[in-house]
Amino acid sequence: MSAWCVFYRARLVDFAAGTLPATRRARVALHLDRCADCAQTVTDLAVVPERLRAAAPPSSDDAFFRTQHDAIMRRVRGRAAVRATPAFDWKWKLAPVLAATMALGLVVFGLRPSPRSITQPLPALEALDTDTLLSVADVARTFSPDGHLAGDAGWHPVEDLYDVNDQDLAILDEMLGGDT
Amino acid sequence: MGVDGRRSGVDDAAVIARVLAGDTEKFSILVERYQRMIHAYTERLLRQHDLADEATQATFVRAFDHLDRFRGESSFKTWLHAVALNECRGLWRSARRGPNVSLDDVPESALPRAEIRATDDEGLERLVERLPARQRSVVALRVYSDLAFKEIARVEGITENSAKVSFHHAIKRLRGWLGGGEGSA
Repeated sequence: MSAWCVFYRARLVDFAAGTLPATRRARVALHLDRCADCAQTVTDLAVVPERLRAAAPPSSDDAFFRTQHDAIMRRVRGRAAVRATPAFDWKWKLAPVLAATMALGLVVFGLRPSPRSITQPLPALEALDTDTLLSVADVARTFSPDGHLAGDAGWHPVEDLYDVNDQDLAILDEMLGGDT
Repeated sequence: MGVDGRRSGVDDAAVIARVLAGDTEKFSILVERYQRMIHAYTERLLRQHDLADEATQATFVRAFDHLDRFRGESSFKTWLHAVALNECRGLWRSARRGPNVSLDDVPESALPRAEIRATDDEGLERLVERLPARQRSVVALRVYSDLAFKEIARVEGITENSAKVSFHHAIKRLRGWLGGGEGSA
């Protein structure tokens, strides 16, 4: 094999396929006249592929390819379904955890709602039971020995602060010694 | 567009556009069109029917997954063969990690001469299986998948000239195995 044989290796393929431009084809033809090995190769490049095609075993039967086709499409549909599923969104998945953490933080760091005022409006006396009335009377007696209750503008008679009926007033009179 | 594409009357590019738009079932057209060709190619590369089945399925699934990467710079058939070749290379790598040794690892001189000198058609097919991997792939792409050397070069990731030289070597080797001037018969 000469250096020219090496040089013409790829061109022999084109020569055999008939795809070589005229000028190059003439040069290759000149080499083939002098080189029996390359001339044989050109023949082989035409004949051997044809023999290979003719010798190719028949492809598997239709049933096999139908089965394979179905298998491929099952896998493809599976991929498509996965693609259609929204991606895992950490923002929304973590939202409940974040909310719980914030609530815990509020409790731990004292950001709780202010406790209910210990100052409660006094209920109407008529709504109170006897025990409570007695308690009110005790309070009144404690802070106002003369039977007055504490109000915004100082000490007041019980009836000024509470819309008491006569019966309640009588009870209070009795409890407080008739000084209301 | 390949011959098969023209036969069914639907252009490969049109089918691909539909699939990319979400019509998954249209991919079935591409499977029907190329599955025999890809199966034959993978079977020649891997030399095992079962492995070829797996490689063919994996090729189409991979092609579906990455269909948006197909830019149309080559024909879909060429691109699909490149995907198939990659799948086969992956299977080769896996097989080589196992106890099996590929025939590519066996020196040609170690192969039984009697089997090499096959002259019937079945023997010729077996001879192709004994070619080195690159030459086997080039012969399969050229002879059985009917790809141009420019497309073969794309599939193999080599130059067009290298593809032609590989083909040249493969044919000469086959002729030598067939015995003297028998290649011209």
